[in-house]
Amino acid sequence: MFKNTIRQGLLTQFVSLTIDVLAGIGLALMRGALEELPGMLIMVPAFLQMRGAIGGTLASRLSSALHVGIIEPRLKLSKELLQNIIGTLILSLVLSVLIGCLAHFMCLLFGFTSAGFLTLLLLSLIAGALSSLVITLVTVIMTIKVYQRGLDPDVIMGPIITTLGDVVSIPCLFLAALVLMAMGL
Amino acid sequence: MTVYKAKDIVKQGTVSITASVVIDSFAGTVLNAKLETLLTLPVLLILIPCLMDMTGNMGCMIGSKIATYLHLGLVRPKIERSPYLEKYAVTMIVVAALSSLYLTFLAMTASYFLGLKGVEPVKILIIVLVTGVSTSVIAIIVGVVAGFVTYRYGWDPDNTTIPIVTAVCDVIGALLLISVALAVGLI
Repeated sequence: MFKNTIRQGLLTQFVSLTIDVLAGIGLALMRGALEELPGMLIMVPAFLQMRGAIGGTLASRLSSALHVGIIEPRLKLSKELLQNIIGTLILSLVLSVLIGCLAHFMCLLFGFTSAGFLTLLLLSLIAGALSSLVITLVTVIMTIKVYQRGLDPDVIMGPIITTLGDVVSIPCLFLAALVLMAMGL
Repeated sequence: MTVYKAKDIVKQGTVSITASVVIDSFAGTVLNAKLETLLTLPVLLILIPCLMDMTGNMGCMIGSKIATYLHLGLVRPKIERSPYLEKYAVTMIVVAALSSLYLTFLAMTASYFLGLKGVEPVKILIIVLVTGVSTSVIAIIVGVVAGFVTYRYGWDPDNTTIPIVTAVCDVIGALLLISVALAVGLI
């Protein structure tokens, strides 16, 4: 067996799980919303997957751009950085719409009660918009800061962003659910 | 002209992430089928993101390791015995088992502080251990196959293996979580 792989693998898992349990606690605390808005639980795994994938690919692109020198390691909004941010935000919106539609479609397909097409779509859109603003900002700042410190963002950012994505996404879903429930949808 | 174009980022991202999001909707559907049970046993809700995170991390490590082995030529994209892969697989299973123990401890601690009822430590341990270890075994198999297939097609396995492995693991993880919870009589 590889001793180093075990040590590094366990370190990654322990840090990641210790933070991610907060996402789990968040999900347990929002069971009222899960009950009130049937179909919401369907979007949870997809939503977390999307957040991790979008944040992870952004970090990975920025990391390459920093290594190659296309983006300067300073917190300045250059054209290259702007294109990355715009692309990430549009991608989040497109996929949020898809996730909302999929949740309702799965309810229809498997005969579950759905909170309604519009409700699930809005839920996904609001949560997607909120979480993508937070995650994009955090990813850009952290990746540049990590690089400034002389560390390699390629190695560090992946697990950090997927874990942070979970912890940010759950409260955003909760917040979006509260907004929709307050509107009486 | 900029090197990065928002349009390309959207176009390329849509294909791979859309596929993983569609697969992951099935994971959500499996959980939704047992929504009422999950609402009465919130410890399982705590476990959902954590188990998916844990197997996702396994998928990332396995996916990028296989890509590296293929690029270095240490492993050939063929179904044959490979000492590197076998050693790596055993290592990953050990990591999965130890991480499962830790996750059980975390979930028990969180349940205690939230004052959740019906949490039976031994049953939770069995659920997390069986789900965590079997999903990791599946992550290894799917990772190897996805890595081989994409490599033989001339694509970079670094781009494809991770989203496929993590999404498939989420579905299997959700199925196992519910099935093992039923098998040990927790739900």
